[in-house]
Amino acid sequence: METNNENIELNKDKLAAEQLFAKEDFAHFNLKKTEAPKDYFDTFSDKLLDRISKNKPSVFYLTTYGKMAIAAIFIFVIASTFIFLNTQPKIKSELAVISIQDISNEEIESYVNANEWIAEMDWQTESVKLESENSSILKDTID
Amino acid sequence: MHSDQELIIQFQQSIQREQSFTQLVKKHQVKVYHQIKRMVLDHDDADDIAQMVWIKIWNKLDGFKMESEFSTWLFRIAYNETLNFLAKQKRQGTSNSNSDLLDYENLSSQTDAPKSSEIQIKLDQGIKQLPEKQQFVFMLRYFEELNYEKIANITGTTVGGAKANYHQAVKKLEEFLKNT
Repeated sequence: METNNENIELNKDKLAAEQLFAKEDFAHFNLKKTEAPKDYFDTFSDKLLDRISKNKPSVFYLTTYGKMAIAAIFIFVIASTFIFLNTQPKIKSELAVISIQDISNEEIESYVNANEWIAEMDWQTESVKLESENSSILKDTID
Repeated sequence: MHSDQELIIQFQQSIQREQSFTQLVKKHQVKVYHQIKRMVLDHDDADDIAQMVWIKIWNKLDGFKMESEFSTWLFRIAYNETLNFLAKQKRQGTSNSNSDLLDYENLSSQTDAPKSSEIQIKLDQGIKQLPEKQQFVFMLRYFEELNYEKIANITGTTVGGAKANYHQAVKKLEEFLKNT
């Protein structure tokens, strides 16, 4: 029934076109447009297979499992990078804690004593600066 | 003669791969060639495109799941390859619509077909002035007598779209005739 309806519709469509040009004109058009050289189709498949065999690249077949394996490797690399980056600061701070804890009190005291004069010098420099700042502020104020 | 499905299964199971492929080619080569040649006119171009189509089929046939008919898939590839070729021609400026009439007459002098009358030349010009998709749809419907569902699958449109394309093509042919 469906095929019958399809045939009716096809005939209608063709008739619509044949109201403009005769059926013979369409047949002539088709003949001219689709003409092929003699023996073309007899040799086409041989020529085609010859070309395919010459162009055969080395084929790498990617099966479903292959695709899944590549996806798994990719996820592994991303996850590893993420985990590695997230653990890095903790390790650093742990290292810092350890290194401070490892230093003895005597070592710390000797360091401070050795560098005390620098600290004093800096303090003196800072205290001079402060005095000059204060004096300039006093000058600016109007009694 | 084996069915398309049987030949494809043989190919996919590497059972006489080349023989099964050759049989597929021999079954469908004429229609594929006709579909391409109606659009490109030149035999060498049509031959080139046809070979590219079949090479693509060879490369992709292992993955063909037979969810649609093989011929629909095949014609779809032929349709896309032809449109790509025509687009490339336009970009390169090698397509010249003014020379098409001359080519049509030269072709008729080379073949055994009778010479074209004036009305036949008008038909050729009328179809050529249609947008490429409408040309394709018109020719698939009129000459290959394919149903709209198949045409829609081949051209990547809907059934309604395919019907509209056909009727618009007929309308434009009518307008062309009135204006010439």
